[in-house]
Amino acid sequence: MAVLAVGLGATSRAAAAEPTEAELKAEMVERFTRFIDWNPDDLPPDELFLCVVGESPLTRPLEKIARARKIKDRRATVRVVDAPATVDCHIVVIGGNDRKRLAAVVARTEGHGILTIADAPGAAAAGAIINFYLDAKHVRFEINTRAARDSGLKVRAKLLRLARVVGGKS
Amino acid sequence: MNTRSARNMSIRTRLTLIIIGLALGCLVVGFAVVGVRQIDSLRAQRLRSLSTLADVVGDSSVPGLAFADREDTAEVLARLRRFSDVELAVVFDADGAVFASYRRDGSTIDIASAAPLASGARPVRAVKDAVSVVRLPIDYQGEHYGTVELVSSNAALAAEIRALVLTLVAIAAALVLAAIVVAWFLQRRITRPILQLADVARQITEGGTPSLRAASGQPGEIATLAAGFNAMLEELEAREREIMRSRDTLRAVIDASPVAIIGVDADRKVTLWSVRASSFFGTPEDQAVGQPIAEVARDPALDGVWTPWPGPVERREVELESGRMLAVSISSVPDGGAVIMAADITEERHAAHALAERAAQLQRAQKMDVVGRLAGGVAHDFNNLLTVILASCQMLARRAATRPELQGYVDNIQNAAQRGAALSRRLLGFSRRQATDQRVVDIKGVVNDLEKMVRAVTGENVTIAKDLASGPSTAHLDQGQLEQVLLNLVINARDAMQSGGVMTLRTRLDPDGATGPEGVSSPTGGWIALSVEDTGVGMTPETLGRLFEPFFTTKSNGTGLGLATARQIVRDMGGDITVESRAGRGTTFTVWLPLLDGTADRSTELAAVPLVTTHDTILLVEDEIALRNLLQILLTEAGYHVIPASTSREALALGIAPGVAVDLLLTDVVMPGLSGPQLAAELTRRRPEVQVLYMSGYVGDALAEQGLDESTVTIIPKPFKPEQLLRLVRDILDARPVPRARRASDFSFKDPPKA
Repeated sequence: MAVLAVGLGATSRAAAAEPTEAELKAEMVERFTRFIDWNPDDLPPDELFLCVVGESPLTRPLEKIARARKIKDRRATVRVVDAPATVDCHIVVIGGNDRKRLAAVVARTEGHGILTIADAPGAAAAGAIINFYLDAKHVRFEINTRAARDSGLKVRAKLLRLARVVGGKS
Repeated sequence: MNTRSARNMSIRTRLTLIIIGLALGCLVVGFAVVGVRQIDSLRAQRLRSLSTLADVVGDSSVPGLAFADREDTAEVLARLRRFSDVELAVVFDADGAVFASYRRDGSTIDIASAAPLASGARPVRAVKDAVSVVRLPIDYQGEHYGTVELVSSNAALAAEIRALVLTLVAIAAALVLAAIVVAWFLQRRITRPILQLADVARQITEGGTPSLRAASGQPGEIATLAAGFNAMLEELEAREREIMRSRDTLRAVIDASPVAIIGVDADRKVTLWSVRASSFFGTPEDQAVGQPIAEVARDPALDGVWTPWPGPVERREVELESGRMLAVSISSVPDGGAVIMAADITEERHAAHALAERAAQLQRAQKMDVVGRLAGGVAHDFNNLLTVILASCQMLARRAATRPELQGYVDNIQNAAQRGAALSRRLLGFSRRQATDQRVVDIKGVVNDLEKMVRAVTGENVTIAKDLASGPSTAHLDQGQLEQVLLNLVINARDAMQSGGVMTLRTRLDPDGATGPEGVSSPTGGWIALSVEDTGVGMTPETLGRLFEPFFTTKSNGTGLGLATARQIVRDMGGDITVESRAGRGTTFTVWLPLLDGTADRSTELAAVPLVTTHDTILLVEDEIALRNLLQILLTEAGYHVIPASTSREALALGIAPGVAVDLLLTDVVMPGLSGPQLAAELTRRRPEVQVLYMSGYVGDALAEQGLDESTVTIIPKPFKPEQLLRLVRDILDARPVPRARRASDFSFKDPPKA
């Protein structure tokens, strides 16, 4: 964790305190956008809607980030929404370990150019494009490349190099 | 090397050095440029590679940096292990802290403490001594993630540079070597023909034939040079021929010159010796040239000091041992030597001497001529008087035959008159106007007669010797004159031997005329030389020189006419008198007389026939009244009928008067009015039978002036004895053609000069 804290410090120096896990993950969400490209049809040039489904500790840090700076070079708006409303989002953060909610979100977002980020074991295999997991106290993530491709999202190799790939090649 | 030694180098060396130097210079400059560029390029390439590597590393570090994954970045850096020269790699995060680093095993290089770069900052690329450093900002998608720094060892670069330099040096060395080889061949190609030319030049210098030619070889500058050289040789040869021809011509001129031409150098050694010089000095040219002039010419005058050039020409006269006289001129020349010219002036000197002698002789002759005219003039009148005196005396003597007491007076008168006649004869003889009485004379007889006379005039202390050559000894001359001459010489000899001695009378024959006197043509019959030698006091050369001058005498009572007259007499005889004398030893006078050629003409000998008196008529013309009267008496007594006349006009009138038949015209030669010959001509024109007999106190030239030729007319010289006249008159009358037929040619005469 310490290493990550140092590594991300550049953008969270203002906090001056040791970042929390939620803050780290929120920061990582923002970083994910740097290595993932949407179809131009799926992402307006100046607006990015970041939605949080369910209850998530990442909401506040995300809102903080969105206020402080642009995400993916766009003005970002953080909303807390229900599963059906995720269709209008560009990034959907799924909080909690709720299988149903995950399936509902996946069903809604699948194939619509929406990046889905979950934080529950097996979420990637269940259809989330990115899923956080812990490995020896290190926050890591896995990527379902098939889901990403199906959603028309292009995940850069640099990101894949750090991720655990789920879903194989199909 | 300095300029001097550079100049002294051969073309070969210089050429080689120039080519090598140029090659070396080009190579050094070129290779330096190439090397520097190459090294720069190597470094740049190195930096480029390192930058690329750093860029890749930086790019690969982006995810690690983005998600603070140090392990990922460390893995990326660990891959640098494959790049063995990368010593150090450091990735800084955006805050400048070291995020990850890599160090090659065993590397001693520290992590640089340089500040990390800001986003978008210029990359740092630097090559330091041992390492190259590249520092790049890590940016991705507009985000700045940190800085990557790579430090690479320069060992490989240095090795590469070393290899490059070594290669370049090796190539340069090979090129220089090639340049040397090329230079050597090039200089060989260039200098060999030049050396061949030089060799030809050297052969010519060492006396080779100028017809040598350089090989033209291959076309090009050298061939042009060889052609030029050969053209020069042609010209040289032509000039040499021209010089030789000029030299030969000059030499021919020098040798043809009558002047000996000698060249002498500053060391006084002979450099030029003409043919004439060889003949003058008797030394051939090959022995003279190169020798000191003093030794060759053997005359100090030729080795004298001469004024250095441009001094005046020295002129000297030299008499060689051979007697040759040389006029020498010495002209100095600029090189310190001189040109000596020697002209043979022996002939000129002799000629000048002879000319002076002639002038002196002429002067003497003129003097004698004046004296002769004076004497002749006196003697003419004197002879008339003496003739009268002698004739009168003779007649007186006959009359006084019965008066013995008068005989002594008559004898005295007669002796005095005889002496006067002798004196007159000498004067006239000297002046060559004396009538001569030439006959064939035996010289030995004359000498024998002389001997008696000599004994009479010399004292007992003088011994007389006689040495007469056998052979012909007759000459045609006036014996009386010869006796006069000899007596003169004998008396001189006696006077020279006051204290005794030997007097030798000698005759010698010189039939070929080989030893005769100088200046007299040798007679056809040869010479008879009649010498009177004494052992007396002799004469000095001065006396000898003036011996024959009139009025020159060494005797207190001498007239100075003796020897002058004697020589004149002998010369009239066709001979000469020579004299040799040495003071204290004696004197020899030699009378050279022409021997009679062939048989002697004895017709002039008077036959001693008795006078036959006829009663012929004689027309006597004589302006001297005493003589006329005397002759009239003489001839009348002799039985002739005499018609006297005092002038020639009177005589002509008388001679052609009617009824007068003149048999003989007896006339003086020189008369006022008509001269004797003119009278005779006028008379014989009208009366061709008239014979003519001239009387004259003159002979020779004086008669010739009157138009008379002694050889064709009869002349009786004054003074004469009565019997001489009567004999001649008789002879003429007896010889005339009978009866009274006369040939005018027998008495031909020439007209006197109109002037």
